[in-house]
Amino acid sequence: MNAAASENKISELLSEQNYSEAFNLIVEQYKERLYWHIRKIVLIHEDADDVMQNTFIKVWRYLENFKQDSKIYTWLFRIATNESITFINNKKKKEEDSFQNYENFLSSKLESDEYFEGDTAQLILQKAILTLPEKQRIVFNMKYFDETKYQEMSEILGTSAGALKSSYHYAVKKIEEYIKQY
Amino acid sequence: MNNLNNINKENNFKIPENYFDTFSQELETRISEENLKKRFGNKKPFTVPNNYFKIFSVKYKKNERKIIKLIIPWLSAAAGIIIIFALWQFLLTEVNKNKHTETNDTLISTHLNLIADNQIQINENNIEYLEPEINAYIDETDASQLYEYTNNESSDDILNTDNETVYEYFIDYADDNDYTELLAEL
Repeated sequence: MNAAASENKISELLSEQNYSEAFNLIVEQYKERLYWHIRKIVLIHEDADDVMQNTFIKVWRYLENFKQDSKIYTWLFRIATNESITFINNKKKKEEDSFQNYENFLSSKLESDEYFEGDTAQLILQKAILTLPEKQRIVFNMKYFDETKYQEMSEILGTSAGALKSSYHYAVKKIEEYIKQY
Repeated sequence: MNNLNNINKENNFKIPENYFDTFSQELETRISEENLKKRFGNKKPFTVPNNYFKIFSVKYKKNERKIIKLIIPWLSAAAGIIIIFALWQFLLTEVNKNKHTETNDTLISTHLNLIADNQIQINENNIEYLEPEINAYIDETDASQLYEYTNNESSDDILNTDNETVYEYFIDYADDNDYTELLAEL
């Protein structure tokens, strides 16, 4: 089933109040896309898995209240983004409590992560991305790796397309500057 | 030819606001982005465990819905009981308050009747009890009239003072005087 057809099917099931089936279809259709969106923010597989669970539990919990004012895809990505940010902030707080910088912790974890298959160059890029502020990081990942349209990003992140373009511009410039040292 | 000459030669095309301002920034972004992609590519460098997506399932989703469904009626019932209990307590307090007032009124009037019939003497124990009636009487009566029922001492003080002081004056007076006459007026 393609994306548009599954969106329609999910809408239909929701209108019929068949939440169980709608939910199963949502998980089936969006788990991979949501996973990669989350993974690029939290970087570590185990963390991405946790955030995925939290995201879908939220979806399940609020599915009955979903008014279908926005696309299901936009709604799901918004929840996933918020869950990822909440997760990172909680982790940051824990790391800061133990006097460790979360970004440094993540970049050293990446080096030994069995689910990171990048070479040294890829590691440098990821470390450069980690130097960006959270929102800029999300914008960069969505644009650079997934080539998401600004309009779509705007709906998910609740920021204007113009502001997102600016954000991406600064992100690219900062990364370019960071990698000069290598 | 004449028709063509009549056409307004001004530029009729429009562009988005600030187009030229943002154009150079976007171009710069594209060039930097291309450079990054040339060096690093834009393939995700992450993998997942084997069959991760195949075996992925949301944990506890069914239990959660069941728990919520089970809990909601109980929570509603508990909330209902609390509201009913609070209402009952409120009503009980109000009824007791009224009862208390009614009892007081009955006792006061009984006391007043007994005093008026000279069956009991006013003393420092029941003068306190009759305080609301005395105060009400003081409110309605001219202080100089009250003064007539007590004695002729300190008349200037009692004429220019507040109710509380007047009441205190009567209490002191109760210690060594017969109130029958005064209270018969209440």
